[in-house]
Amino acid sequence: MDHAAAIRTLAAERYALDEMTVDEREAFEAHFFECPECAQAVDAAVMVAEAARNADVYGPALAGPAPAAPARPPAPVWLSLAAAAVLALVAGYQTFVTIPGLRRALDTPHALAPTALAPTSRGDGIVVPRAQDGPVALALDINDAPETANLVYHLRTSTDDVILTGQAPVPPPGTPLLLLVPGTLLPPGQYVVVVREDASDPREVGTYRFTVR
Amino acid sequence: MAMPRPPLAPRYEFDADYVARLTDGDESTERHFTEYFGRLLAIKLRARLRSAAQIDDVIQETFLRVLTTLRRKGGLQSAGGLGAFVNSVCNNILFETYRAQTKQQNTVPDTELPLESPTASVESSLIGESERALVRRVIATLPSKDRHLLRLVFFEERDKDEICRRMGVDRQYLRVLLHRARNRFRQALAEEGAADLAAGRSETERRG
Repeated sequence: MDHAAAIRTLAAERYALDEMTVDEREAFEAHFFECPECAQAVDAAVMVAEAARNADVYGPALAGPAPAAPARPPAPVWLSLAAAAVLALVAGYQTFVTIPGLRRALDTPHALAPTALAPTSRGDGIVVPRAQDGPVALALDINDAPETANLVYHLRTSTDDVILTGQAPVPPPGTPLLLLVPGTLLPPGQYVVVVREDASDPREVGTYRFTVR
Repeated sequence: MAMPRPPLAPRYEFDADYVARLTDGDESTERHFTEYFGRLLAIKLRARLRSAAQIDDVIQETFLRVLTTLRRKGGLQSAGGLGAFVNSVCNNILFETYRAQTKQQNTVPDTELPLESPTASVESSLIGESERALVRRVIATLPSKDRHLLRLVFFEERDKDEICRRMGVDRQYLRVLLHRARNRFRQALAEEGAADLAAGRSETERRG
């Protein structure tokens, strides 16, 4: 690979994104070992990529929510679900929706006490204790039977910054959707999770509000 | 693993003088050589070896063989080929490492093989806290959509084609986004370096 081709094809970025074939990778390595300009480019691209693999680099961008007002107590209808969800869950993380960055930290059994969230159209929602050292476990009550095999969820701050989005299989009837979120992503503030059917014209399954304190 | 930092020095010419100084054992040239190529070797090896210790071993062995060869032969035929020489020596050592690993796996039961450190330990060695703070600042300047894209690609490690489909962008957009982020990162790094330099000068002047 020559220098012009490396620049033209954004080789440093493709290398950091792991988009190259083995042959391309070797050819680009042979080039950047000889070319200080490309060496600097690949070094910077790899450093950005490495930093972007850590949740904390998104911290300031997500620090939108202001400290929230006290939340209303949960309605009685939640109680049975909350009581069920607060049961400690041990191991079996693969059956939950986990954020990939958490998987390495969750490869050993842990006990979880999820916070049950029911769909709500307004308000601050339930208060979730802040977890700085581990994940926050949310149990989303799926009342409205989805018609698709999968669901798509979006977790946002009150200022509409998207914290994470993902896809998950529809849980069995009567079972909440469990969502594990790194505690570092949830500084004190108000949050909304919107769950929709995974379809081209998605129907909303529920909006869940909570406040981290 | 003690990875050389800060990131690569500005563009440098590996000319005949440089190779001659390296061959003669000049201390500062040797330091530059190990810092510069140490980073490149670490970048190259992290995709190929599982543990930081293995990477470090290959890097050290590469340096040893390169410097030994230079001193035994009195330099290189073409000084411009220093980088290519380092890369080819590393490839040879990698090949030997793979071969040794294969032999070990064929003779030692899996239960007796040492557990490798997870890749995370390798990743964390390439970037320090100060660089991560700079990347944080750079990412904070990006539009919300681009921040979200970076998060999906790198933190959530989602399938890139699926991300592009959902976000309505093509794969080239991801590359350009990373290109933009790394340019801003380099600029921030340069500004910080200049500020540190200026602060150092002021301190020196004040003391003087």
